[in-house]
Amino acid sequence: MKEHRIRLKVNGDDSEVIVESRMLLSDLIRHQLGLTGTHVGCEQGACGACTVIIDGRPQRSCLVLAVQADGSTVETVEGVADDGIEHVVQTALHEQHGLQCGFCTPGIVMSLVAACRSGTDAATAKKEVLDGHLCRCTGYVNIRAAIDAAWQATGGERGCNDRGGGR
Amino acid sequence: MKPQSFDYVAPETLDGALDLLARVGDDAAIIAGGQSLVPILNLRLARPEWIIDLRHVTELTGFDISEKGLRAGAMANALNVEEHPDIHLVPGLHEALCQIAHPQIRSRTTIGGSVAHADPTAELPALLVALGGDIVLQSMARGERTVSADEFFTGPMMTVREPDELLTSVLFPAHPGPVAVLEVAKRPNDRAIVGVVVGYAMVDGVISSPSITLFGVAGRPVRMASAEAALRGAIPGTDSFLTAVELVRDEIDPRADTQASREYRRQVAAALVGRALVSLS
Repeated sequence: MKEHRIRLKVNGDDSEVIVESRMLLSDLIRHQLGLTGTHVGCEQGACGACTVIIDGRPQRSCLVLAVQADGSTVETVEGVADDGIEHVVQTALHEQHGLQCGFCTPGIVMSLVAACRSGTDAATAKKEVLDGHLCRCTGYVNIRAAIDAAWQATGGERGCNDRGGGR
Repeated sequence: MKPQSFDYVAPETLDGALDLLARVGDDAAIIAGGQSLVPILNLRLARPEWIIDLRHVTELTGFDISEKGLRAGAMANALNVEEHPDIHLVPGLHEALCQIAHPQIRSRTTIGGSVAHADPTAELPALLVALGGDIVLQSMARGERTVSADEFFTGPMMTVREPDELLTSVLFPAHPGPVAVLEVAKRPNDRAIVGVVVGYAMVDGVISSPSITLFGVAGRPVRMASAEAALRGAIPGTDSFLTAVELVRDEIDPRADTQASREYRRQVAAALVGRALVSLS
């Protein structure tokens, strides 16, 4: 079959859409659902700009076929703030100037929110988690400062929530 | 949308998948985690008419870790294996998994997908060759067959799997001694330029079961038979290690590409083998 009716939950809302087999999840999110906060950079998994949280884990939306996400729960950067109140990771990136042009930022926010929830320590977040993202502006210094600030704001070295945030 | 148009099917059972492969296997690509396949679909390096998704085939998602090794279903998730409390029972496995790619990729990586894809710079195929592992293939017409890792990989992204066959499980036998997995890449967790899997055990004060495998230097992971022979029965130390390193340097003939020259790969591969041997002693 070349077309499929799929159901997925995006930022808490159920949606039912018809997608072509070859449609990427990133394109479904941007073009069909109109959530353009998820940015598309390299479309081969290297840059990390399109990272979203699927079933609790940060994943590249350009490396997932939309039809593969049938039945999944997807969170994009639009769903991170709670009723207009920024997530601690967003506040820290803002306050520490952890972005310049902002193209890579939505992906970084999603990876860090997932790391925060799963109790990843700050050192791992700064190294392994951030390694999965390319930023051509900042040189990463202020992003690392933002990770320190976010992790400190939420109880020191450990992540903001206990392990098991959707995992 | 980047990929060329294709038909997508997600069979519910192993039999369903094998039946599909029997009918359209020649024109089909099998998708597991998709972290290697989707990039090449996006670049249109692969243009299959059919994509067969194994995500509903629950028979393939299990894995078992014991003193004997890791027996993993093709769809076993790499991050789930990596986070398993008994992973240390298979020396080298955790180190190999941690270097596969960024965690955002590993969250979808599957053991079977990585092995079946047979990327010559990938960690799991190299570990499988180093440990003398086995691959189980299954088809509707001919049933099951087990292939050794050494026979399985034939070249870059090429294996002995027939178009109607499905890789159903992989066995990574535990090495009797510690195993080191080292690689050099442009940034950590990126595709390796050169990597090594090195292990040995100690019996009566001398080296036994030496295993040296290089990846990124040829079209498939390669065992360094002469260096292994030089180490077998030797006393670990500068003399025996240097002999092995020199044999590796002389024996390999890596390719040059945009990532690195032939000579760079040769020097780095030999240096990594030396570093790995020292780390194990």
